[in-house]
Amino acid sequence: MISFDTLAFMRNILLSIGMLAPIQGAASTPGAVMAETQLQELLDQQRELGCQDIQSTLQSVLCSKELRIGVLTDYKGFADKIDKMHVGFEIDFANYISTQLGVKPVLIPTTVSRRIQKLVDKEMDLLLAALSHTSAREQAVHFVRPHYFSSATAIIGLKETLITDLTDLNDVTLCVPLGSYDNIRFDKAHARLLTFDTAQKMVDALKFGACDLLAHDRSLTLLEVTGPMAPQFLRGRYEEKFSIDETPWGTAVRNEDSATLGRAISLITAKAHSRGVIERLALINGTWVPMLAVERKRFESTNCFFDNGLISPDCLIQARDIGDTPSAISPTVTRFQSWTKETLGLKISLPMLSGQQGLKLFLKAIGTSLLLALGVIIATIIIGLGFYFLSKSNWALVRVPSQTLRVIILNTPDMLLLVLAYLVMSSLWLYTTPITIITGILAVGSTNGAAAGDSLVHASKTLPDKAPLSAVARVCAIQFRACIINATKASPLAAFIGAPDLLSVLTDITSHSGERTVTFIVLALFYVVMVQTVILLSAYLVKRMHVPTPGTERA
Amino acid sequence: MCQHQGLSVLENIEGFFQAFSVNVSVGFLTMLIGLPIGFLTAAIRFYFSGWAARLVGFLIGFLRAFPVFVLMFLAVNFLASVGVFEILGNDYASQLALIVALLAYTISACSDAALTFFRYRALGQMHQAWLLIPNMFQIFVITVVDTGFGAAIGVKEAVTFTLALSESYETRIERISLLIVVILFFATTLALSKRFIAKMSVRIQQ
Repeated sequence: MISFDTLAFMRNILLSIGMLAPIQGAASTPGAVMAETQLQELLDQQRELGCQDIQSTLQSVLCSKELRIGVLTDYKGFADKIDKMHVGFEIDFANYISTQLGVKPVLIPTTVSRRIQKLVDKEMDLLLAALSHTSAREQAVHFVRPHYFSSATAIIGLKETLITDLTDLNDVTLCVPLGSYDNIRFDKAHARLLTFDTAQKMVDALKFGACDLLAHDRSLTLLEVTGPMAPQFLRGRYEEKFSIDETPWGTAVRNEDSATLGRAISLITAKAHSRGVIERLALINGTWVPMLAVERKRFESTNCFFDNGLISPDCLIQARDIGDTPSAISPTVTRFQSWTKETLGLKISLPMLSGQQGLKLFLKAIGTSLLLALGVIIATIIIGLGFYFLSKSNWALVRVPSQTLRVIILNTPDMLLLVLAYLVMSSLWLYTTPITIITGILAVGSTNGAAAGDSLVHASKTLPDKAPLSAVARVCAIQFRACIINATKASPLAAFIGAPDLLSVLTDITSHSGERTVTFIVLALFYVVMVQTVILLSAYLVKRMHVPTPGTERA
Repeated sequence: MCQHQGLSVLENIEGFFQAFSVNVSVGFLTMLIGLPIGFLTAAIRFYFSGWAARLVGFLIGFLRAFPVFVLMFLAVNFLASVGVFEILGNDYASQLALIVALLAYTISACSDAALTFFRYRALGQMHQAWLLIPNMFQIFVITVVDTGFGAAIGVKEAVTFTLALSESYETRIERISLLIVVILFFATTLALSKRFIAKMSVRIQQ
């Protein structure tokens, strides 16, 4: 594994041989001079506006002398946090951009799933967080071009596995990053997707055999798994099976900032390419790709710059058009969206219904959520009864451990139990989607089953020794019902260990669509209706048992 | 907080307890807000009839049925969209989202407990009525346990600390061992708290 010391050592070597010199030096190419001139014109215009009436983010940045840049903290080589220090290619580039603007960089940690939302919500001014430029994302934010990086998605697997292209992914368990635009393509190829929110968790899952294959940006897989800097035991076992399309990465600003901050960053990026700064930053961080050399050549001359400060479209890479194909109900969805806009003035978006694959994932997620809810209810009942019967055993060797286990489970935070179940289950079986669902069911069912068992045990103490189970159940029916309701409420927790339920899938969809208001209303409605259904059905059953008193429930 | 490699066992234990103090303080703040609202809603449900009581009863029922975990994600997104993350910063804003989510449970549970208190008090059964105190303590303990949900949105509490620490271990067995140790800590602490509550209940009834 590449360590911070290694990176620092490499940086010192490169500094000592002068490879970083051009970063601090004067503009050295005609393209860089052109970009610098146009940048200074733009900055002067903004400074002339003063700091009284702030009209743009760029003006605000220049006045406050701070640029808030959203960065990842767990992307080795690009943006990592080691000993409380941000390090990596993107961090170096963020510092470079700030220096060019004459302001201080304020790094705002973000995650893959929330990066676009955070930018839109004005939690940051600029996003520099391994964001692939796709046409779908262009609707949410403005991508700055030229791009500062480009990467293909590499599919990694064991050396002995025979996988050569997308068609081989049928029924294969594939670990993918949350919010990746390629997830839809993998789903189309009928791969069983396990979604992870950090690269570290994905590599762990691969290492522990939770997935057959891993798909991520090649730059990351080289550093973490297959490249010369990856740990020996990983690069000895795994290799890149194939890769899919190269996609450019862009910094992003809010749409309204495209002509001001966006243009400034665009000129800075062009200048950085022209002077070979980006290429060198990539080299010292071990993330160099051929695209950077191509871009350096392209921007060395003034051919790409118009006199008005804009960059010729011929010099810019287009966004990848990898949108989902329209679903069968897409026309109806579009009509509905237009209707709400015209009549109610509400601009809503339904990304989970308009695309064919998105709709398929959405429906599958609803099925998974219902299955999880049903599963945890059944597990709660079975485990609750199990604990009850074990507590009635004549053998202390059975009774005492079961009671101890019940107390431990009852007092353990659900998240810890889930992760423990994940670690245990993935060591016993290949961590496929069904195993993920079963793990979630068992973990959530255990917590609530222990509570249900506890209520049965306590109820039995109020009755004669030989009281039948039906009598015990009648006494604690309300508490038992509360456990079942709580189990249903807790079923979405399984999303935490990768179960592709509605919470997980909709979070994934919002992370690359940027839309969330409608998505989360749909999510809330679904779970409220599901829990209410269980409440009503269980109330009916309890009523039939003629149980009079009210009970208590857990979160 | 989440860089644990190279830290000594003592430093990690100290880090864990610092993180656990976040669980307790978030649980305490949630109770501080949930308790008065719970009492107020219970008073409306008990002393009033008609639409006001029905409306409050419906709202409490709604909160009771709302999955805290899902509500937490809704709260994160809502707070982010209104700029709270920008004002408070990531740490405090995500704690606030967790508090908002936990309030769904705390308000409904406190309201139900307070309603039971009012009912028993009206019947003159004061011993039963004052079981309110252990009930509230019980709600507080459950709220503290559920602050562990915050791990899913990055709240820097004990579960997040444990999971981050476990990720620094190379082997599965090390990770499982760490989780078991932390689970035993939670189980012992909370089981003792519950035992204390049970004793308190018995004393009140006597």
